Amino acid sequence: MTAPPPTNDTQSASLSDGHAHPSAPDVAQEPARPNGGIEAAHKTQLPLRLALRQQHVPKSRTVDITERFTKACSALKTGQLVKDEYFTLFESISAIEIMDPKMDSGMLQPGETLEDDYDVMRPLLPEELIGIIDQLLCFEMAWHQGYPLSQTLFTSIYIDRLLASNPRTIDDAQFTQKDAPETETPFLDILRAYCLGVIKSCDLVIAKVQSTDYYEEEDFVTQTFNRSLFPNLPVEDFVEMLDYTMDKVDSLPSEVNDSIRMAIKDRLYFRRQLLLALYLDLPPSELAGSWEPVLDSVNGMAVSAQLGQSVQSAFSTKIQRRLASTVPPRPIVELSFRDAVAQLKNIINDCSYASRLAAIPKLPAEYESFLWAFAARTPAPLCYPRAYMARILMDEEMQTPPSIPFADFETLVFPPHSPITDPADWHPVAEGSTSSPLSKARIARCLDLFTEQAGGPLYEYWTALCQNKCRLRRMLTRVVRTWDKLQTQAQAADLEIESALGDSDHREPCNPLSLWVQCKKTFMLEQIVLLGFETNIHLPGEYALMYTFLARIISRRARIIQPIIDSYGPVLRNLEAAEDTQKLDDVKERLRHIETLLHLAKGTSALAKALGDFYVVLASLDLIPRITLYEKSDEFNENQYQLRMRPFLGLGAEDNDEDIVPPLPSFNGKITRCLLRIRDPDEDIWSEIEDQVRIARVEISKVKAAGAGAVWASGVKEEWEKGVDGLLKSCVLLGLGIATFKDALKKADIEEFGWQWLKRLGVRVEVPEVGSAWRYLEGWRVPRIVRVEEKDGK
Amino acid sequence: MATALDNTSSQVSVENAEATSYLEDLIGSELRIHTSDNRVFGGVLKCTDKDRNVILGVTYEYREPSAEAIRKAVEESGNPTAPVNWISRFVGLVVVPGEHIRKIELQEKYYGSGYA
Repeated sequence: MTAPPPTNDTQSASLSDGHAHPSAPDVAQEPARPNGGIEAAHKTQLPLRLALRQQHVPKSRTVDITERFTKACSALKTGQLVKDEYFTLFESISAIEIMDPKMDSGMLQPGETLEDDYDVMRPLLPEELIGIIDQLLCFEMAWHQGYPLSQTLFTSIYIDRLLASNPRTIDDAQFTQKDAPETETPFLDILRAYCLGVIKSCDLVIAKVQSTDYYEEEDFVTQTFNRSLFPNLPVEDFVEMLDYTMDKVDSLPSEVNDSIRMAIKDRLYFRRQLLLALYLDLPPSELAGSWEPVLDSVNGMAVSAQLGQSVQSAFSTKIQRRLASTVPPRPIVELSFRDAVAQLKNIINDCSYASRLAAIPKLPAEYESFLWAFAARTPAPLCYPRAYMARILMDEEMQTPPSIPFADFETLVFPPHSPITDPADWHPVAEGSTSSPLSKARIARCLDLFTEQAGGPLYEYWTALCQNKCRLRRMLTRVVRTWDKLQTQAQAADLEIESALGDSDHREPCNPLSLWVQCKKTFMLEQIVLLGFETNIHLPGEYALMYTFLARIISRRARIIQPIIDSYGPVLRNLEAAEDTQKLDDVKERLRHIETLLHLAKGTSALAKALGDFYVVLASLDLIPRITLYEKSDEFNENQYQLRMRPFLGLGAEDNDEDIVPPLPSFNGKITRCLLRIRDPDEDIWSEIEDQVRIARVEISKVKAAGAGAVWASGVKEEWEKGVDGLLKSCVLLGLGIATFKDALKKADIEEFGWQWLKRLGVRVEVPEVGSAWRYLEGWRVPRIVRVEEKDGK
Repeated sequence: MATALDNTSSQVSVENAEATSYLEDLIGSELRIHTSDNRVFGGVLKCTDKDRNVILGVTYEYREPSAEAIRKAVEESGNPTAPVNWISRFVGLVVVPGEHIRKIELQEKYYGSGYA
């Protein structure tokens, strides 16, 4: 790969002019130059039977062409470029300019040396050892945050020395290549062991991140600058080495005091535990508990950090000059030890949380709730914990028989023991099978095919859930399109099932698979809108529009769930008639789940509707800022509307339902109505909004009473309950706001419209910002109505 | 007068055509460019212009070992002609500004020992 180092020989310098004088004797030394470009004279001199004497291995020599090249260049016209026809100017933008101090990482300032004069073999003080180890941890965390290794860990001269010779084994990795005399201070050996542990940790992290199917370099840089981080050595070797080193700490000279001894041991122990926790090949069920020891060891380290003494000279940006790099030199990333420990704890907690997935009930719906809860964690999990989550999710152990898509639609749309999905009924001659064997086989084949088709979209959806919020939102807008296509396949499958069933008396929901796809799809759409609020994409001026739209999507989902519930009626009656209590209980239990889903959809839809309407009122009174998105006419501009609705446009055309995106709603009528009637607090507009709030409260309370298990969120009970409480609180806050507003209207002595009028109303609207105590749920922004004292109004 | 001018301009265009053709032939060949700070860049010629700015692709940077490193190597081996490796690393696509170019070398590949 590496070209041979250049020689300074100029033996063939005289050849450079060869082309110009075809008759010159040294031309003969320029035979069949493969690149061509030699005058015809050369070609004519080629002997006919060249192959006889020719060796087919090319040799190479260096020819000085400075003069000729310079002369040729000067003959070019200004602005004329001689270039490779496939080389574009666009490409040239990424080229590094040599000798430009901002871009050229290899450029030395006058008097500057390439190497640092830091002596890695100098004896270390124990305090310095602790200082360096802690600094390494800071860099490791900065790397986790998304900085490249070149700006973080690879600035360590110690790590550079260990890796510079491209070691294959632990023994090969030494600070110095020579057989150095045995050092008197054992601290260097300890540092070496720790550094090797750090290097292997990086290797394990990179391996895990790269093993997931989707990750972005903008979140995390896996580039190792051509350095090998012992990918082939087993973790056990490093753990053993650290164990051995920990034993050596005990035999340190007696002048090293106990607290320092403990501090060093804590650090080695932490690294050991971390390596074990990062270990790749454990099945998910054995992961639980692997992070607690790491967390425990971190606490010890945080306490003893003050014993350390920092050694700034052991880190240098100069190392970047020797790393294979196509980017300009960048400064060292500074991260304080306190921040690093906080970051480390977040990583540990997130991973530990992710490992809980193995313990929750094995149901796809439960997994999905878990993934949503994981995605909602604050601070947002870093790349590694996400990769860790994804790996657990995709593990074979997490499979739900017979397959994940099957188990998912079976739970959501079919009553338990449905003859369509019951495997017992699949056998052509199963006893008690009610339909003909032939049609059973047809249905089974059809479900099989659909399961296969649904696998991809479902997998994409879950992959998106392992990303950070902004990317999750963007990816969902794409995933929804895949689901839209799946809808067509679901419809085909539904038709097939229906024709196979013939006129048998199973009253399954009509088009069950389409219902499943629609249900999933609308849920994703809701989440796209809500994530838009969470990530502050929607501006206050748009709230009215977006909440109204959200209400529309959610109520659509309620309409999809309804026929599923309706289909339970005949099933229950049949079972009651047959007095099959076991099955009856199963069906009733499942029905409770689906009903809870419906309550949730009805409740949230009512809340969204009420919010949307209230925002229309507030916007009409100029109580929330009208931003540029509103044109003078107070109307949303058609183009901007199309832009905002782009993720949703064209969806749902096959639903035999109306398009998901409504035509641009005109708030004008509503706003005028508001302005005319709003002064009367007993006006319909208020009772409409209040009714919605009431419905929301009633429905969500039902959901809360049913509990997390009822919506398949028992794995994340705590988070789920917090979420439902947040919804209820949002309802209360909204109700309160409306009451305050109405009260102000009643009290105000209003005679005319306009600013005067508003001032006399004596209220102010606050939209809770991120982190506000009033923002109970990130996606639900309930405006607060605050009374303004008379003096504030002036 | 007019003829003289025509002659000069045609001469210029001939020179330009020759230069262009020479440089075009060099595109894609392996060059070694010595820069004013004693580094050498070995890569494939992608583009050049009137100011002798050169764009090289798939470039490696080579740097002479420091005097210190040479001294150490000689001391350790006891051999005054002990080989010391140049320090090299991959740098990818680079632009070498014309003003910093000290020397340009062509890496020629040829077959056999020639037919001489």
